[in-house]
Amino acid sequence: MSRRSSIVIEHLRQEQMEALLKVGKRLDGRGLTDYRELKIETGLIKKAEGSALVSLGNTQVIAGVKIEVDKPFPDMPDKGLLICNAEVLPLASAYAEPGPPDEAAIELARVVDRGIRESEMIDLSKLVIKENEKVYAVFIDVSILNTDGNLFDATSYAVVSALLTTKIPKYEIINNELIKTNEFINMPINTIPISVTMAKINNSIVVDPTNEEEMCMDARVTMTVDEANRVCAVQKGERGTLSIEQIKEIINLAIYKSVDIREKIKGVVYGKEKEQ
Amino acid sequence: MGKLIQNGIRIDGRKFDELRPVKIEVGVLKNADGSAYIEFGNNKIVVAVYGPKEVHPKHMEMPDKATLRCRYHMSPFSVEERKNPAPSRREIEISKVTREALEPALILEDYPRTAIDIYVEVLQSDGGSRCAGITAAAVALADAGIGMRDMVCACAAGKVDDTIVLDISDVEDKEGQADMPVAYLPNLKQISLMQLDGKLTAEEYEECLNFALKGCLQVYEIQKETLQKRYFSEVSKSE
Amino acid sequence: MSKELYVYPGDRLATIEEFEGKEGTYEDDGIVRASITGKAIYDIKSRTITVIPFSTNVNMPKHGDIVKGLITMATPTMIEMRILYINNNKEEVNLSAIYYSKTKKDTQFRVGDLVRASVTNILNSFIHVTFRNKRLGVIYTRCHLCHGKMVRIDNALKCTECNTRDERKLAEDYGSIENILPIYSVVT
Repeated sequence: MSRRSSIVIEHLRQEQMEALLKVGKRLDGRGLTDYRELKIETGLIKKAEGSALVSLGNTQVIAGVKIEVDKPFPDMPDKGLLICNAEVLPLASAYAEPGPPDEAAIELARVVDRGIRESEMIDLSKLVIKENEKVYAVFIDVSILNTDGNLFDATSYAVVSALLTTKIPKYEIINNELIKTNEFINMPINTIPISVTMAKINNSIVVDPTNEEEMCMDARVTMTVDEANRVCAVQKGERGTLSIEQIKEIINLAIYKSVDIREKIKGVVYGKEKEQ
Repeated sequence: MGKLIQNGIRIDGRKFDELRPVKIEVGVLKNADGSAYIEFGNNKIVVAVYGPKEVHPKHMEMPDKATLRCRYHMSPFSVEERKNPAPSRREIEISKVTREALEPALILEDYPRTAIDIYVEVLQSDGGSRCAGITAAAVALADAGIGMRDMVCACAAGKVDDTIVLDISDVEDKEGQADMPVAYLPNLKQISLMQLDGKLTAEEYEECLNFALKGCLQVYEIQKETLQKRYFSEVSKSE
Repeated sequence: MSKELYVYPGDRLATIEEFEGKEGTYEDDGIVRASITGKAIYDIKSRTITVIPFSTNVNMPKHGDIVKGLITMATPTMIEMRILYINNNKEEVNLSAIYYSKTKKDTQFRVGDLVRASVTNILNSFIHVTFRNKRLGVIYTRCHLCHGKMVRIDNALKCTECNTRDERKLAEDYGSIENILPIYSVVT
């Protein structure tokens, strides 16, 4: 059954939600700009060069980074490669179906990819072994394990955390031969981009929408903010529209919310390194 | 003496009849009707069960029983070399044998015109991921409360350096001489999965099977412990 | 007199000569075994065994259950509904249930109505429901012409937008949202 056939239920939920939003409340008791509990666990997958399991409320996402050596793109001979894929696994919800990624999953991967790429989180020019011939290819694969709204942020945090903990096996070219050394290099990090997703429901802006809220939302905006509080990637989704005032509100909210989350991710990633 | 076994100890320090460490958790996914997470050696696998639910596409619906479907899938980062996310021939075959290993244990007649979907996702793979997947799937089915004739527990045995050993690891699978995954219904004493790659004589075969069944029974105890921890301890606390 | 025991699927409970297996059990080769994880209750008086499940995730509707759902098909004598809630538990089972009657008055529904019904039986693997109770019937709907809000006027509905009047078999609490969609998670 498609979700749409339960449209009557959605209308009812929307009525309930709107009544609560008017008094500044949400169905799960949060305030409009509160995030759900964010949990991050890194280094779970030993076979991957970097990995992170993120749960944002009931949304659960796992990201793995694999490093390979590949030829650079002809138009960027001095840059490493960055490839980001996301898949909503059929085990994630009763509505997810097996098969190649659908348009929502592809949008998800591309928005997360854009946030990483445009913020220049990774210094791709340091991922070159030999210009024009061999560069490191960073494959980021994200599997969505359980969906309960806001896949964008959960995926982004998982990808960022996985990249921050990635150790690249060092390759060298000796006598025209590619040799894998036993050394590792750290991922060259410039900044930590944080994605903040907001939903517009009946003129209210809420942060970190749940699945139920996403079913009722008019519009969705994902903004990625870098460490210098610059907005570096934006995606507006769904049918609704936004006023100019709302966009201003959204930008401020995104910058404000990103600070705490960046601290949280840093705490998990660097706190763990200190322990070791 | 080969290189995989020295002085009666295997390459990862185990005895011939010793399992790798096994840990199972139940109810790890919120949306699924039943779910389980298993760490079997270095295997890390999460399993979700959805159902009984409406059958899509409709032509798969059976008027007298539930349609059982199974998907075994490996995450791209689960192996040494990144794997293409599209299902491979190997994954499709394992999906089929997993379904057939579980089907005899399920009372599908109780749920006519419905579907039961089992999704096995390998997050990190080691040797024997199909056995680990079947073991976790059986726990997830029990967690979903679907009627079962019996639990299903699975374990592999094999031949390494001319010795029969229990629970083949990744290295032993690649370098060893035979690998035999077995799934077992412990109360009804029936075998529901039986595969072999490698060469075994009739005597070796019997020994290997006995080893595998011993392993299955150990796995069964862990399955029961897991369910006990999940359900019975809660009850005794509340009482 | 009864005895209790925690059991797992496949556990041997008794022979069929000793006890009769009820819910949560099955019989194989003269032996009663558990089919679910739960608490086995041996009733010595009636000589039956029941296993009470710990996991109630399987929600196949049973006789007497109150189900809520949407009408997916409506003819003068028969309707089909899609079950969304069983006894107030949100279900993603999406099973279909049917109801048919010879009198036309009983089947006044339209596709898309949210209804409450009671399960009468499960015959030939179809779920049969009834609406013959004042608590049962349409609990919420939208206007079929303009999708406006429908309010109750006596035993009929009227659209607040386009004034369309529609006859329905209404439940007595039509339109009260709290009764229809429970909010599980709001912290007040």
